[in-house]
Amino acid sequence: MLQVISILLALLIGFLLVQVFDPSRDMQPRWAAILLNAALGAGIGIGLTSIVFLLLDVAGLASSPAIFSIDIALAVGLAWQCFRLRIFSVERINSDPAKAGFRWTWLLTIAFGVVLIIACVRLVQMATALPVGNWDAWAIWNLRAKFLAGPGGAWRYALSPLLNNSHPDYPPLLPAFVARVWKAAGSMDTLAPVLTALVFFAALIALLVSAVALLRSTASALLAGLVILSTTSLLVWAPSQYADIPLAFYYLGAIALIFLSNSRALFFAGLCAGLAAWTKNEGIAFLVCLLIVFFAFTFWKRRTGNATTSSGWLVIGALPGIVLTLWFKFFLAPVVDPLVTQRASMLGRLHDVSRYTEVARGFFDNLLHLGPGVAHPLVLLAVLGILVRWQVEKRYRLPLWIATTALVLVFCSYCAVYLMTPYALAWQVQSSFDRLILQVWPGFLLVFFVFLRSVVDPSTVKTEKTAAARKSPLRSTKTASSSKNPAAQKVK
Amino acid sequence: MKPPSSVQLLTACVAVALLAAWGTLGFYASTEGAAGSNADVYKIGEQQARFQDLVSALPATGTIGYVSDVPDSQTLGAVLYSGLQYTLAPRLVTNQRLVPLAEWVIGDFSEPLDVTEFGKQHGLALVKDFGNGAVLYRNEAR
Repeated sequence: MLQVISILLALLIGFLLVQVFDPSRDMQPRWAAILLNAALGAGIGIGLTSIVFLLLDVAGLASSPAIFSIDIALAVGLAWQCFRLRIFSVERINSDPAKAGFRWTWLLTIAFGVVLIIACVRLVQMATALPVGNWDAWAIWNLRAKFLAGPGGAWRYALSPLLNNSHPDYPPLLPAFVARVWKAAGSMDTLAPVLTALVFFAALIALLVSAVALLRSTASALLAGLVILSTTSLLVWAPSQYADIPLAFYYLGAIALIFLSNSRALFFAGLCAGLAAWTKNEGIAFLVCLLIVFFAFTFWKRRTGNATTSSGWLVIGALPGIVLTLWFKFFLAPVVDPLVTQRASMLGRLHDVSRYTEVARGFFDNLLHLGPGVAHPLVLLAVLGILVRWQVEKRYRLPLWIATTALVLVFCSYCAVYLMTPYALAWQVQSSFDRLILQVWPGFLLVFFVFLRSVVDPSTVKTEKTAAARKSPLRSTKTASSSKNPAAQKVK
Repeated sequence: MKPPSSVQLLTACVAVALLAAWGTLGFYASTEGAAGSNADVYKIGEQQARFQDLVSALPATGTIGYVSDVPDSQTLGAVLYSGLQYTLAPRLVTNQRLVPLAEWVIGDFSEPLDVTEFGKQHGLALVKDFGNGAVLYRNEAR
């Protein structure tokens, strides 16, 4: 019971924090804005509370009363701030004006609901059948969580070079969060990692659906939900308690928030990218790629002081993740990864053409196994691309460039690691490539659905376009009310 | 680009809904084993049960040595070693050959053998044989 309370407190802290700044302020539909805040809050709450716990643990102050005291103080403080800002006022929540709809949305809602229920039932069954998780869960993540939750200075064992088969240099967001729940509850029960895995999966689905609903339309969002739920390899890995689903969540969060393009959203985008770096080594590559790509495209497209400001918000948000990751990598974690400790031998591998072939084969093989046969998610995307077609709104062009380039660069960095790895390449590709694809897959789906035309009734679009022609095509915080309907945006 | 007609939109939605439902049902059917009693392919749960009594004889934290009749270069050896590391955490289980030598050493055996003799060969004194391949030794070199 205490474990559930501890997890709920982390989610509440995250939700209230996001709600205070409300990156989706004034966006419609409100249900999607609230769902986006709740989903983001879940990941951010887990990330921030794991950081607080690790700092307490290293300082020798981690205890159940300390954890609950800090959690309750944070929750009360943020709730008071929400109340002060009247974030939950009826006036705001009910301010949903008439907007372009799709007459068959009910059909998609039913389909999404049925698919979601089937998937969730099976995921809970799988998580219950294997509460210790798959190999990496007990051999890496939960093993380290046990050390971090242990008595006295046992946290040091999580970073021991003697654990060279368990990657003690991996960033500790996930084990620190599980350890925090265990320490708070006073027992190391498998419930904590099981619930954490399921929460991250639920938050990932909710984040994709809500982001597409805000950026395009409710029907588009439900289609995005159906496509991601048809990605069966994602469903297989969801209850495994690996760090890949949390990482995919933070990638998606960072990318979705960049589309919202306001300072608060950019701050949280940076925070998500920083938490990705705090989750797994691949997240460090994502953080670096996102920052570089964001700076490059923003300055190239805008060339104004506005570019500096927006980049500044992104960096400020990413700072906790950057500082903690540097501290962890340079002062805490041992250097045991053969990829880092190898020297000139990696260059020799880069000249081996057969490795490129093997990586390419691994990519296509694993891409084919994202889903089954005709229900493969790429088939679903092809159907949508052919029948619904494309429509890139002007306001989304820059975020689309940033998101697409960052995701491609991150994936290229994964391939580069495969080319240089000192481990047996066939084994490494076989044991990890599907998870690497899954890390970027939700982000890719978001990009796809922003490219795709909004699924709204054609008759509504014609009517709305007439009204929208009088309004500014570029959305800002001040003129956000004019852009509540994505279908009403001026399109080039 | 010409916008799609209502029929095209409806066709796309129905196709995606049906295919997604089909895919999810396929996932449900194909994961029967992963949701059943044989999901724990590495038998980590069994390993936890096997060492349950031994754990109570160990200190709550500290470094514990490890010996086995299966080298950890083999898959079974790696499963036994990593599984025991997880089971005994927050104690740090390390290979017995590493220095400084741990006071307590766990023997994890896959087949019946003379555990006393095995211990002597490795400089270990038998403390207790808990059965089912779980043995507690004390390091004589300390």
